Amino acid sequence: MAKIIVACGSGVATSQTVASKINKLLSEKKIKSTVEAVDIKSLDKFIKGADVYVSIVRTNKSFQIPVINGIAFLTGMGQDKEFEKLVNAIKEADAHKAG
Amino acid sequence: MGLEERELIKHILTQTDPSLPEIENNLSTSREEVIHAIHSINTILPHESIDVVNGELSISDQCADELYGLLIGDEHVSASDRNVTLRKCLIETELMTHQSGSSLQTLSEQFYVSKNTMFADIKQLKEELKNLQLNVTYSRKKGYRIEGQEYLLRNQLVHITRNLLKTVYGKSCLTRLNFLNKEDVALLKGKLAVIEEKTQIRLTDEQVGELPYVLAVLMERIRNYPETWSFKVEKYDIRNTLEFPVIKDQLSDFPFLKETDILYFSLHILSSNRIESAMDFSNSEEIRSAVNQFVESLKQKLAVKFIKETNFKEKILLHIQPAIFRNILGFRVNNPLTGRFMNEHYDVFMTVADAAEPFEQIIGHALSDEEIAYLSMIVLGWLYQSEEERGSTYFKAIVLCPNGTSVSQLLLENLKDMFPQIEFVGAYSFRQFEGMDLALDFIFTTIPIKSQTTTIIVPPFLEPESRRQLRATVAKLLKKDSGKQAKSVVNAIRSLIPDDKISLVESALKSFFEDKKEPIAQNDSPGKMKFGEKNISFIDGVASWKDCVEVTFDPILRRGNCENDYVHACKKVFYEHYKNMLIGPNIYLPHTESMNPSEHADVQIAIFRRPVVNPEGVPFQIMVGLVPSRSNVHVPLLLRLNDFFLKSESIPKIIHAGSAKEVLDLFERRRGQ
Repeated sequence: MAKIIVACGSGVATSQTVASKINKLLSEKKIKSTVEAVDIKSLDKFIKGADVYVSIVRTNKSFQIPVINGIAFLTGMGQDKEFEKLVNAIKEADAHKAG
Repeated sequence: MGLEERELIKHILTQTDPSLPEIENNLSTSREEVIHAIHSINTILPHESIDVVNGELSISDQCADELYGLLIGDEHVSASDRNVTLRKCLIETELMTHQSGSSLQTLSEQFYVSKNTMFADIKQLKEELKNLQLNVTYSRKKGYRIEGQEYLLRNQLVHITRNLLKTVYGKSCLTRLNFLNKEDVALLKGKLAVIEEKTQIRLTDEQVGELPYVLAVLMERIRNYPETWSFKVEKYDIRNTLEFPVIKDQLSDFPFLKETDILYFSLHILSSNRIESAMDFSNSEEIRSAVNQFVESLKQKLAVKFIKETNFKEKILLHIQPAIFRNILGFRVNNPLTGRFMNEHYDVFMTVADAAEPFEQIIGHALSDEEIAYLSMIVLGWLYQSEEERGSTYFKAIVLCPNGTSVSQLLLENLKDMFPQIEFVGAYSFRQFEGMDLALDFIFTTIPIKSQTTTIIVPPFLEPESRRQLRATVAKLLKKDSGKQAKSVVNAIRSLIPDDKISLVESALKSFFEDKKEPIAQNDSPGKMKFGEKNISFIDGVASWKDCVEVTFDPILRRGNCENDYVHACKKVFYEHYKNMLIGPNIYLPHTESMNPSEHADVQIAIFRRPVVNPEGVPFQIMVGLVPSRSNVHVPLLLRLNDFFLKSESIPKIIHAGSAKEVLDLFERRRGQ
């Protein structure tokens, strides 16, 4: 099962909301995954075990795993496209784990 | 002095250029409170004061010393001759690390004093160093120099470096005057970490902070005085220890270090205070026997029995091994609490000094007051321990301190005595704590740390006044926290409650205390977050980008669910990261983490009749202010708000709504769909 982490500055509101929303959207599509909201300070710790990173902060850092724009889930702008990217990344991660 | 002042001092002393905005930001407090705290500190500073000029804090070196004195609870730090003392330390370091042919003229220019003052300083220095068998010499060609046995010279250099590091300006002075190379410090930090890991010795946080600087200053001397030298350490054959090859291997990246230099570095690493060690000295039997004699002597002199005597002896052994080692080698230890300990516990100090004779026989001379004070702290800490069943403990706590040995041991036992309702897991260094995973109610710490657990800052040495303050702080915290209140009551009537009902009763009592405090506190308990007409406000006047956050939070402030500090913290975060703090298209969500237990989850939708314009020139009319709940009950409401705002017709309808009720109806209608 793929692990998704959502990070924002404090980890208390926006990331929690986006995490809940993603969870709901994935459940509707019957895609099993774990979604966790974290604060940006803990990102380095949590990203190690994650398959997809949903970002609500702007960063110049590059990551080894796919990064999804979390703001889209809050503003609705580009949400479908980002969700599709997320679903594909989860499928890839699941396939990689199964293989 | 209150906790806010202590925190502010600590912060000021660790910043290079403290300013009001920076302090507000880092301490999550308001400007008014910072200024109030500065005034309050100024009234207790003996001579100096903190000046605020155009928002910048101006702090003289003397002022920094006095602040440090306040922080460690030692007003005597600000003695009037301290400047001379500091200058002499710096002159000594200069003469020992550099070989630049310093004359009276160059030295007076370097330290910004007249030639007469410099001459007087050097004269004093000559006298002082003579007692240590070191000489200050002068020749036209070589200028002023400190000469003597290299071993004694290096010991003195280490001693003054450690003294400088105890002051707030120490590290900056060492760097600014080129007494060390910053890259060496960084490299040495890494090397020491590897040495710790490979040799299984665990240095205290203080030692980890100091050693890289001490060794880097020594490196500066070695670079400038590369002459071959030797010293005798037959009694403790360092080369044959398990640790020496590891240290040698790690220091091989510094090719200019000779075998003797590495040996000397090893002495300093091995004679440092340690929390844990797997190291065994070659003649540990002799030391063990001395420990036994020491404990027997204490038992006789104090007419006491030590509980868990074997553990006590192990604790003494762990401390005394490096202590004996550093004493044999002529290293002096710093203990800033010596004077205060001697005043408060003179009898214990004298008894320990008397009983320490077996150790002094091994060393060959008397132990210093500083060493005796350290030893006494361990003894006193152990004496405070009681074997009585502490059946009434119902809170769990830990003591954190950079030293992690004798100081924290004494503090731990004092705290156990003061708070019988708390079970203290132990005293640890910050680094040890990082690796632990404990469910705690309180953390007692000598240095501020950020933690989700209730953290209480305590001075390393508890005097009657600080004990009184601490009791009041803990009582206040217990009163504020409904969970802890419930726990206390359950414990008092535990025998009357069936075991399987304890958690139920505790949870019911928790809700009871929450209800008693503030009705809105329900937002912090698991369940639904309340949202009604009062959570919606219309702003008819013009609001600027600068003011919109304050305007939004105003009703929450008036409801008493957050304090000004929280709003200021939100503003700081929001104005920096507003592009990411959204809950709908063009709808901002200013918020931050709530650290104050007296804050309650709350939300406010501010509808600006006249658009506010953001720095990009984009107008917006809705802002949602949030005080988050610690149990995340705000998340379902935020999801619903997001869902509502994403409907294209919602936003214009809200903006043109005539009343809060109308907005609420729109919101409820969407929810019902």
